[in-house]
Amino acid sequence: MYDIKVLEQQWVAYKKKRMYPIVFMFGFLLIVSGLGYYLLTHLKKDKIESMITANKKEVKKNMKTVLGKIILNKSLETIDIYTIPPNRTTSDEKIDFPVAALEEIPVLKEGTISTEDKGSKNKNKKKKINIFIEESTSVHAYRDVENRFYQSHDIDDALFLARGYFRKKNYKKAEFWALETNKLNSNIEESWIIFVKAKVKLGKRNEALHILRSYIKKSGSQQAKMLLDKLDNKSSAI
Amino acid sequence: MKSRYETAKNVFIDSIDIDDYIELNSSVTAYKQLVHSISKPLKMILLFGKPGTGKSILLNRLAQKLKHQKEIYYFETPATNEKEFFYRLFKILTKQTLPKNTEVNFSALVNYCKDLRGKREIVILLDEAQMYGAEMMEKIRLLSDTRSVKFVVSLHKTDDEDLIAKEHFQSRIWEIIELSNATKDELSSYIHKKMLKKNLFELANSLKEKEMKLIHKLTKGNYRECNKLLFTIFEICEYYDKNEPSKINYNRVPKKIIEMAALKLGYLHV
Repeated sequence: MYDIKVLEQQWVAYKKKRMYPIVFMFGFLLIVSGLGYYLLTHLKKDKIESMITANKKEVKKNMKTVLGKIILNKSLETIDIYTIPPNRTTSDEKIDFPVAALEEIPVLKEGTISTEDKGSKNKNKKKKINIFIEESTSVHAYRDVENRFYQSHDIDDALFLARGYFRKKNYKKAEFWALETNKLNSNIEESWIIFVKAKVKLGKRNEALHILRSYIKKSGSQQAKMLLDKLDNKSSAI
Repeated sequence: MKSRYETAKNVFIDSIDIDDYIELNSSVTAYKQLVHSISKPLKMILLFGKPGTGKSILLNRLAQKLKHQKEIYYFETPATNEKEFFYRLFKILTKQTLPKNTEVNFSALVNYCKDLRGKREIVILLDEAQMYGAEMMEKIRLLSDTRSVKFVVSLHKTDDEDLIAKEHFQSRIWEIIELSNATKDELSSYIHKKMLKKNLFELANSLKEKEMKLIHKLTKGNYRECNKLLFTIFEICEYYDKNEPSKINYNRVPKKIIEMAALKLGYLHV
């Protein structure tokens, strides 16, 4: 009879040998799948992270655009407010008024306007003034513009204040800002007329006439002549 | 008490005993083909196949079955030399023993065979014919040309033997019968029939399809290898049955034992 024990040992060795490729393959598959999983998860994570970063950048970029749009839209909103009835309370307007819009308005300064835009410069100025007229009914808004004027000495700001105060029947301040405007540029017809009108309203009629005649003599302004006629006729509708 | 495995083991002792012949579809076909070929006026018939495909047992069965119908002789073992071969042939043809210190004259033998044409029809079954030399085969061919002696030559199928077949028989052989290894089903049928022949029904059932598949894989369907493997399997089973019965399953031959037997026989390697 065979030595069964030896045969059994051979069989165990044979089974082990048979198992090697299976174990190897299993181990290999395990490593490959593990590596694949690791790579997949990390790549996915990196991708997500890069996406998040990209998205963040995108969001920032979009936010800038949106902010710009908001500012623009807010500015436009101020134009819309122009149609709001005058009985609107100052406090309400103060709450709704976009501060950012006021901060952005200096962008419209003369120095920043391109050559192409210079043709529409006056139009832009007018638009800007309109914005402030309606929104600057608040004392704070006027003060802001005044403070800004003392820093920038912008002729548009001075004229805006003269015009605004005159409309608000604050003739003292209207006179002052019309004078300030004239100091910066003595050829602006509107500031002379506001100045004269404010003097008349303050009861300085003779002085006003004297100044108006001097201006007509200097500039030959038709509007100034018309005002002089009205003053000569003692018309109250100036 | 005799172990059941001992009987099973002995079933698979390799032999060409006619009692061990198992009729399978392929072997029945080959047998019928061989009988039919012998009845035809052919000079030589070549039985071709790898070792262990059942050539010898087929020739033996043919000799046993036809011995009362035809003058048929089975040369189980090849003659060691030419002298011995012609001595045996002389005895068959003349039914006389060659006197001592004499040799057969081949030309006289051929003439004698020529004289026998139409009178007798002798069939000689030559097993393991690859062991005959080229010169010997040429003389066998000359004898077959007399048409009174018909040879059935059994050859192993190897490259060299193919060469012998081509060189010495190609023009003279009229019929080639080729035996091949068993298919899985044939081998399964062979094993079961062999065991049932000895009333080993339970043990035959302990070899299920899975085990049969493994046995076929290990032996490549070769009957001789199958006999060897099953002999070894039942020998190991016998050992366990006698010494460590806990290690054996009587309902099913364990795969482990089949593999151990295969390792023992060199079909598997550590």
